[in-house]
Amino acid sequence: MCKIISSEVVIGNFLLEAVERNTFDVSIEDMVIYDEKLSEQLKEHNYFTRFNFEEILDFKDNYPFFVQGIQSNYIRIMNEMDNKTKLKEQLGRYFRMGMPTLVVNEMISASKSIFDMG
Amino acid sequence: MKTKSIKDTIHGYIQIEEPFWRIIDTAEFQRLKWIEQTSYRVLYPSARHDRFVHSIGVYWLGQKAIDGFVKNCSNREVRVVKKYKDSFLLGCILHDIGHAPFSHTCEDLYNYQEKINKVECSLNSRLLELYKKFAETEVIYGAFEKDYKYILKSTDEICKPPSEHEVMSAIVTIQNFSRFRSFFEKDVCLDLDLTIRSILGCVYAVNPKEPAERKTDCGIKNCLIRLLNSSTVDVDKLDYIARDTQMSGYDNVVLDSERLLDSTCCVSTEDGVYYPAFKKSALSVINNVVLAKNSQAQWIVNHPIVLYDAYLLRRAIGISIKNMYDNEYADSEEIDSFEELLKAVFSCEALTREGRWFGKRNVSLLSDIELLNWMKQNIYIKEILEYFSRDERKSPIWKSNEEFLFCLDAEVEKAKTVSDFIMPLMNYLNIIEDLYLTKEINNKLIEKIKTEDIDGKEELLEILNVLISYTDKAGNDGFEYVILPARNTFFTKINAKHVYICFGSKEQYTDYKSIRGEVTESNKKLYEFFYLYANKKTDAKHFLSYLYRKARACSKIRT
Repeated sequence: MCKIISSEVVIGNFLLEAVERNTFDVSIEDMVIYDEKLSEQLKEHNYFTRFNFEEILDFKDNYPFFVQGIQSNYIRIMNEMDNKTKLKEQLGRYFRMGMPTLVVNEMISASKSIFDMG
Repeated sequence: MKTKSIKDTIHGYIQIEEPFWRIIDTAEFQRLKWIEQTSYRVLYPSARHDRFVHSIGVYWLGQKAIDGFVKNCSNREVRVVKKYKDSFLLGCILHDIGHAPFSHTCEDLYNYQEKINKVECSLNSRLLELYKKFAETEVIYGAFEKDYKYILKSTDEICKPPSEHEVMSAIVTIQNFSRFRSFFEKDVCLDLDLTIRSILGCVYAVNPKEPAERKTDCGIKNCLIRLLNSSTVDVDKLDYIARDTQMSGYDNVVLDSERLLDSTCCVSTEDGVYYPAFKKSALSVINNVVLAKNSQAQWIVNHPIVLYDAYLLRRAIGISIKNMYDNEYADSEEIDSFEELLKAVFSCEALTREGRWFGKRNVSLLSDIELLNWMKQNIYIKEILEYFSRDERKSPIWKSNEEFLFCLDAEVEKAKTVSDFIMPLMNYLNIIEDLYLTKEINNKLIEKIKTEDIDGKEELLEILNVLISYTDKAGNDGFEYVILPARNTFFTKINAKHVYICFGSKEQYTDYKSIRGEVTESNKKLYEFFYLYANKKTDAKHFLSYLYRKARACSKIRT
């Protein structure tokens, strides 16, 4: 039985990985590449993602407390709390807790190839 | 030209020209009589309308839009509009011909496991492969392929990937085009390319350096495409907002479509790109479209009863097809898996009169009827019985965001605390979709989670124990739940930057956003909202006070 992962989880986890690395402006292009890598990795385990660009705009509308704005090709993460630990906990609670560990591990692995390149 | 009259509840008498009523008479179009337009009937019992009447309504409004153009545009532009009128109206009447049973509830099952914005996905591949055979010339196909691939990948706010039913409608149109073409006189210009582009919302790419005549030709065609399918005001929206509202009996803002479409015209920007526009007399109607859509989204589409009904329906369909697979195909070579059976059921072939065979079963002209029959064959299953029997259903503990907030003493911080506490459970149950697995919150779920490898397992079990341990004011326990995500902010996704208003001559125009501001909800969303449905009635205030106390005690919740 295949399982579909929502776009929100893909975006939310990408933002979480960015915050882990003290990055608060994330490129949409990188997010698209992240989703493609993640999709490939998850297929083996019978999981699929449904991410597309329109969902980024929806994400901003649905989670304005996480996204400050979208400018040209970048998403600015809200850092109102000015407390990276709290922000990470929040993102983790909203988009990671409750997920199968297998999926979380693949998300972490896919993000490494984006953020830790070069 | 012969015409027939149909009396429509929304638009009064609709005149239908002969070629179009011959299309309406085909089995492929008649199928739409058994596709329910909305999922609102659970809340508004009178909302018994279907895709059939909606498609005819859109055809009628398309005619009105053409009349507006002819009245308000230049002679050169009118010549182009008249040339493509029938192709555009064909798009209007066929725009939903590929709709899935139960409309949007099942739409993504056409493309299950795949992404609609990927060229390689089977639905897009099928469309391109089919159109390659039927396009008038290779050049026309080449241009379509390029423009279509562009919108699939587009991050442009005015161009977006089509939805699954739009692609399927385009496929059905191409498959049947020869037959539909034969209903028209030989000298009538029917441009299949324009028709399918209208259905898909796929505009023609226009090079500003092209000769003026070609720019006008493409520009007017793009106006027609946007009048049927766009992120602005279009005839599809105008019909379904009015129809869904009136058929439900819901007192919404009245839309004067006639006033709006009578003012239809077009404008061209400095580099010669055309957009549909409306004269200033339509401003009040455009404003009402925004209000009506917001209101419908807030009070009907996102009503907890409507959301729960859609959840039950989807689960019932998944369970029924899974049972069909287990009972009839598990040992067969023909269908390898549940997913493959799902694809066979929700396939292009299943929408045709010839149908799709799998084993001894044939599914043709797929509609709500087939799915309901399969569900009834499994009515002994609890989740399916809950769909058919209203008195078996769980009910929402609170029925709106306002009630949720009221029960938490109108304090947004309390709402945030409760919402944050529940989020891991929402992730576990709703973010990964399993079509046929139950999502009930009860002791069985706790036992299941204990055996799984889940991030934040302890937190999840804590949340579940809190919910299951709840006792109401009278001391009753044994509560079981379903939790569904919901929206608590509503703003219409109408692209105000590309709704153009003419004040006087064609050169005197501006966009709606410039004069009216951003079309968004003024209140920013502050917390994630959800509905909780319980198997027993309980006092919402008592329940939420309990939940808040428990959430507050959880050390990881933000304060």
